[in-house]
Amino acid sequence: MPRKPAQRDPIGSYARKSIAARRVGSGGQCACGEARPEALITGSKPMICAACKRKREGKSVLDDHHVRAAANGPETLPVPVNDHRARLSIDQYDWPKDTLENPTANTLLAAAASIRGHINTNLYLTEKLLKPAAELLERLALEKESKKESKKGPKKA
Amino acid sequence: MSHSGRDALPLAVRVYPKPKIKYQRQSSQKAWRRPNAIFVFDTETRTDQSQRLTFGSYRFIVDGECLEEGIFYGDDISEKDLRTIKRYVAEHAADTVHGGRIQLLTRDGFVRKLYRAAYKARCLLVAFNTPFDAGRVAFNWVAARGRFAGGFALELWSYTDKDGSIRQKSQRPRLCIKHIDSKRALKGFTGTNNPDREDLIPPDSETGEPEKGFKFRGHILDLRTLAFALTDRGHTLESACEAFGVEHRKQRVSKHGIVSKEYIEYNRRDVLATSELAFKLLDEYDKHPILLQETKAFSPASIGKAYLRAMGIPPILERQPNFPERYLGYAATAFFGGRTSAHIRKTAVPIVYTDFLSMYPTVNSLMGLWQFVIAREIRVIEHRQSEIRNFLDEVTAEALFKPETWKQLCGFVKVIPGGDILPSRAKYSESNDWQVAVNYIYGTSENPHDALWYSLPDIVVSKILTGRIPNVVDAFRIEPVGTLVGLKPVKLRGAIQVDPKKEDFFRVVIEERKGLSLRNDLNDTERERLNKALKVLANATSYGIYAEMNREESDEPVNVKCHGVDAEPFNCRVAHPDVPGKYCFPPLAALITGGARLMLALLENRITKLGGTYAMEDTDSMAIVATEQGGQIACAGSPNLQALSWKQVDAIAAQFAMLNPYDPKVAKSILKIEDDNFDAKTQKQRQLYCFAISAKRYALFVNGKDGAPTLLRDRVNNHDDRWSQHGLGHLLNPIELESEDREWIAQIWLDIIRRTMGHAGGNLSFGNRLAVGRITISSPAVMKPLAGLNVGKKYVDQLKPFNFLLTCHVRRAGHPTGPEVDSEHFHLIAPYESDPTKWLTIPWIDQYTENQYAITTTGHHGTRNAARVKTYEEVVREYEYHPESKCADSNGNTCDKQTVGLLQRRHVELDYIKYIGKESNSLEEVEAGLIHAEENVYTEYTDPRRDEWVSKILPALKKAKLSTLEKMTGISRRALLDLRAGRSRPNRQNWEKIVLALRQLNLI
Repeated sequence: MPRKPAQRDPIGSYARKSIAARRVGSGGQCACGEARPEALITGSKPMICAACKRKREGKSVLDDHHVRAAANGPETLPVPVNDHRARLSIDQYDWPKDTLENPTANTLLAAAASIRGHINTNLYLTEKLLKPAAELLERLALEKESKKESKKGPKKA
Repeated sequence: MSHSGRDALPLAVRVYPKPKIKYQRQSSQKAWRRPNAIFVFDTETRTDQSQRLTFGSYRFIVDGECLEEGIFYGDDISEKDLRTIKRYVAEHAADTVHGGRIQLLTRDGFVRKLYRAAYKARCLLVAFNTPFDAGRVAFNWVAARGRFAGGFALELWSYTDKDGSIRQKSQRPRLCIKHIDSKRALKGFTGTNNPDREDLIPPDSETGEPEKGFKFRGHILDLRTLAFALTDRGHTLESACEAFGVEHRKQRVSKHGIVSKEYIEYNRRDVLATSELAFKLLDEYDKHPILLQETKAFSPASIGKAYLRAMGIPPILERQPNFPERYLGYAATAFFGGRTSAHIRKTAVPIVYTDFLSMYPTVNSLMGLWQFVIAREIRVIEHRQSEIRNFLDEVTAEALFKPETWKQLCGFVKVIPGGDILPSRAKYSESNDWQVAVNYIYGTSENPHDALWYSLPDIVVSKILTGRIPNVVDAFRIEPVGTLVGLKPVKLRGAIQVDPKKEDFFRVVIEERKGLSLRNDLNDTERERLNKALKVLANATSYGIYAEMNREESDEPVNVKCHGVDAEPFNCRVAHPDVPGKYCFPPLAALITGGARLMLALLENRITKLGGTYAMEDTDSMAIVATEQGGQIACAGSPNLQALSWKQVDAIAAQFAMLNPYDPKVAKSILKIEDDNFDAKTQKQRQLYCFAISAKRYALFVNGKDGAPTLLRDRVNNHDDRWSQHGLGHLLNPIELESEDREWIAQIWLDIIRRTMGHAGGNLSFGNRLAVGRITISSPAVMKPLAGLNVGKKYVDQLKPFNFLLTCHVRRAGHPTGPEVDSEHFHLIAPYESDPTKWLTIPWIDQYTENQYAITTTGHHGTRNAARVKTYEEVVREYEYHPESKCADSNGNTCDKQTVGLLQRRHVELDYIKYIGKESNSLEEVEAGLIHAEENVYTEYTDPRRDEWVSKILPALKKAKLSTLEKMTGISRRALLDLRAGRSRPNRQNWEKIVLALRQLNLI
């Protein structure tokens, strides 16, 4: 079972990640805990993420994400800027180049983009909305277990 | 010869150089994060002289998962071949985790991928023998400069300019490759014009800030080099896959060069094998807890040095930069390599083959040298001549069997030799190479210029072999003071703990290694790997790193401050200065090799004391003339040669047990009666015989049931092959051209031995064939004479960097007869041709004049346009008659081609001293005959105070009558007047003529 989803251009994708990571340095992290290189602002001192920067500047922390990619339609979805930079835009780089750029406004490609965009966005939203719930339940289970252990007292040798 | 029985020869000593050079290699001691992605590739080529790219394949692997696989093809591939590749790609899926299509790329498309992966993304670029493959995917090359001077700068990324010329993109780097030897090369990307911001960020940057002037050199991992660094063995892809248990090993293909489905499968399999080998090697490498990047592990010594760092042991001169350089110079001049020579020549004699257990680590341990390695300070105690004289007065062979005596040997002695047995480096033969020999050396007692420095162990050798104490004029000892702060225990290969502060590193390594067979917590593979790793580590840290000198190719001569025999240094300018390695510390290097020579001398002393002798010695081994019962045997030049009995040899070995620094449970004695002496099946001792021609040229054999000699062979009657390849290894297999099999050398040895012993011989099936070697175009200098062949051709048709070439060797008097031919500087090379039937018809090129000649293997002489070159038969004859020139025959005459039987030491009078750097550079090229000129092998450092011309020849020249000199030398009166007035200096030929004349006139 492969650990990574199939990519259109694995070398290009790896290069983008590698360059982004290099630009923020090996210790690059925002005070808020954001450490995804693509979400961090290159050259900022101290290192800051796009969301915190926007907050500091009094701007919105949401970006308009072109679900089908800008070349295929104007529809946008407001998403947190860090996720836009570090997740959704990156997912789109793995689309076939023609689908992403669609220079001839081909309707079939636009339809393909629509499908791909919805897959990416839905996956993202599902993860974003439901993952915290799963994690919460896991934490609760852990806490319950540890309470049980502490009631039993220390183990006998 | 100056005195009866003595030969006056210049002696060379090593110098300790301090060159002023721009490019100092910096080794990073920071932990580095290995990229989790690797880009592996391999190419296939035509088998014609251009060896152009036909096609190749690559894999891009992230976290062990192959995400992309592709095939690429050469720019000029035929339509038919391209169709075959396209059909293959259409019919086969990529071997990636997601399946899918195999990418199909042009060469240009491939190098774009390579650029993105290896330069922009900075993943590991992996290949087996990178220089060759990189040469295939390049579109052009230029000579490299700066730190890669002497190498190639390959151009991979091109564009077509307005005039239609193909040029290197200035925003892309070149890939520089500087050949070191067949296993190693320095590799790195150059800088680019207008680099992107991210290209200027160093890999270990914490802030992501670009660094001005930073050049990313690439993470280029040549698996051939890494396999060598881990095993100290030259590997092919096939042998490395076998040694490291790769699952999908290299396949064989029936025909190279023809694009077919089978051939494409073969290439893809090679890339798969290479990628699997990469993981195996990296796994093995990761077991070593060291901070060295695997891309910088060039040799076992690199790993050894990294271990010292891991133990908190920085280089001695880094932690003690004020160590008096004068003493480094003295010790450098006292440094000589191992003692090796034939002692009974071209006569088969019965022997017992003995070998010292890990000679250099053992000597280190006995002399307590680890204490110097971990010392806070190494102190020089000057002017100890009186103490040393007293020590020499008392020291005997018997005393040397007490380990405490060895602890007193850490000193250096300046002596004026007076017939003492000492190591010397001289041009003993007609060839230009400096040979190390242990001979009787004579200086002039009144001449302080004749005083030379030796390690104390070497002086003790002279004492125990001659019974005399040399004329000591100065001496110093070195002693360790305190212990380094911050020493840390380390686990060797993650398995064996060593505490450098409490334990002798060398002793622990050898004991653990010898004790592996007693451990039952390891499986066979792990035991074997650990065994090899410990062996490599012990050897790497016990000697070479302290003697490391790297000859730098510089663009122009540089000033060098040199420390030699005299107290004051001298300055000179040289083109290729030697740069001491980081851990270089000549006092330790000289003591270690001196100690090893003393060990051999002690063995020699024991043998001769019993009336015996030996057939040959080689650094740490000696073949002792011995039979089961002992007694006299016949030998040319010494009809009543005494053979020791096996029991006597056993007794000698037992005596060396007194010097055993190791746990007796794992090693009984340091002198081993080698396994070769015992029948592999019955384990009973058998009678071995030794046939030696000269140093490093010998074979061991047994007599078969029919009385005929049978060589000791791996997996047949022994655990190892015991015939040397030295002197023949550079030639191609005459039976199967492309085969690495060396069986043909065994056939040669057997033929020589059989003929000498009076058996039928002389029937080498390949004797009449042209003796041909294969070399690579390893530098622009090798390419230069071939430039004419490339004129007007496209790159694909040209001879390219790292292509193979053919080389052959001209017979004596076989040079072409034209006036432009200089027999001293004449060497024939030709573009590679795989069909031997064409060798005699293709044009061959003289490497020096670039003229083309025909070759022939018939007749005795060369003609105007043809050279008479050697056949294998002739090479074998020369090999067989190679004289052991550093020795004398039983009558005291210099050993020549015809000498057989017992040899003895020569008597050598010091003519004058020459300072040289490391003399053993470019060994492969020298053996292949590619390098003739001595200035290309080693660097000579001229001390104006010891300049032979000024101090010796010129004064004598002024005394001689001009007219006499004119007649004797053939040099014009005008030229002689200029020489006498100091207005000019003679070239080498005239120099020799003048010296000869002055000698005949008894003026020098």
